[in-house]
Amino acid sequence: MRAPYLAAFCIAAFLATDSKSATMPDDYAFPPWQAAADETAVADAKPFADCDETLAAYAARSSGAVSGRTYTRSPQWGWVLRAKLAFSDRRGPYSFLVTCWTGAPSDPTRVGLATQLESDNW
Amino acid sequence: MLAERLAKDWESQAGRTDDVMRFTDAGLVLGAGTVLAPAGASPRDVSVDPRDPRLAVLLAAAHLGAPTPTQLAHLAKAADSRRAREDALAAMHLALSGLSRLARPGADAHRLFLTDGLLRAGVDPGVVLAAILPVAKYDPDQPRVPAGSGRASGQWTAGRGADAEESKPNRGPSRARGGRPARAASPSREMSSPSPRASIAQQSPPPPSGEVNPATVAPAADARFVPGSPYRGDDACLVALRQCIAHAVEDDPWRNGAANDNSRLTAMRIQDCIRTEDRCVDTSLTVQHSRRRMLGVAHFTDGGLVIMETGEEDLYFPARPRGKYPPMRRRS
Repeated sequence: MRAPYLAAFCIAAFLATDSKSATMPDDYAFPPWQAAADETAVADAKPFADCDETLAAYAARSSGAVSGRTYTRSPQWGWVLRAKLAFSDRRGPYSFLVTCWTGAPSDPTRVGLATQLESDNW
Repeated sequence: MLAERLAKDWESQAGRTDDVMRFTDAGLVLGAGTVLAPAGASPRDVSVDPRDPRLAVLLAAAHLGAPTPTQLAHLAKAADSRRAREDALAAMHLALSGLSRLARPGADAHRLFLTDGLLRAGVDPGVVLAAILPVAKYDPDQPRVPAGSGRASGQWTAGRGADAEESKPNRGPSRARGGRPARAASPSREMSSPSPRASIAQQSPPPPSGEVNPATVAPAADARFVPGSPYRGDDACLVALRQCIAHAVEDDPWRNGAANDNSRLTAMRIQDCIRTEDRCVDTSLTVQHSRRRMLGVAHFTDGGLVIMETGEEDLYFPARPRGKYPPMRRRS
């Protein structure tokens, strides 16, 4: 008699545990550092004004030096600006990969800024 | 005369402030070159005495709140690590102290500079401290959220301690008003301060539950953080840093049974975590200051993510759990 209840309890406990896993909602998705195959290079920087401004604000706040800007158009992410930010501390120079996007079909008015350290240590 | 001299000295310092605490040839330095703990015979010869009233008053001036014994112990550990040439560990302890960054660099550095000048001129530290803490609207009788209540203990609460329902949310009030957001690990929100007139050297309140025992090898997560679950709070970058460092230590091949000691790699990974946390805070501030609606993402090197949205508290998604080895926990 107890076995079905025990099994149900175990399944419920498993599901409860699984639901706690840190799954990130799609609202927070962001374009990868490497441009996708369906992205096309854009020569005109005008649509990237918001991202240029955001990147400048971020670089000024963090005292980073911007280099290697690339401008692309993505069907999924809209206008995508990628750049490297160079920093230096007591242990030496290091750089961050910065991706800014705006005009995504899913949320055209939002400006996104994703940052990650460029590192081979992991 | 003293005020004029300090004003003149400040003008000569203007523009040369650093909002991050660092070890330099002069010692442990913050703000406009204010030396918190001087170097001795060599630049690495720095000692931090957690019972030093001058140090406590300087930090109280910089952060508008008295440092806790645990925070001071982290600074002492940082100095010990510096002397032992363990620079990554020193940087980790500085970061974990929650005292290493100025929330408002200009104003905080100026206040720190003036306080240092007053102390050098012979003003009693207790008098300076009593002058500083009212500015922070310090009220030793204001109830706090107690430990074990299910909420972040040690924070201010508007009600009657354990019974209060209206604890202030874990965010800086300025953010809610659209002003400058509170920095991650803002000491003023973490500190548990004794009476301003009490002897600083005799302070021994229990550390807030979110603090890390500096004597343990690896840091623990914030008390509100549940491993494997998202964490929301203005200190998400700091929680992410602690988890990142814990993962770096857990991933250490030597710890996991490898024959060679790979502590150098672990130290470099810890440094990566610290660098990422620095930029995470910058990203959060950029997002909160933006005139547009923004989404920010700080990708930690262990795989953790901190998500920022304009007008919202930051949200941390931890990295995947580490293999068969249990997460590092604080020793009691």
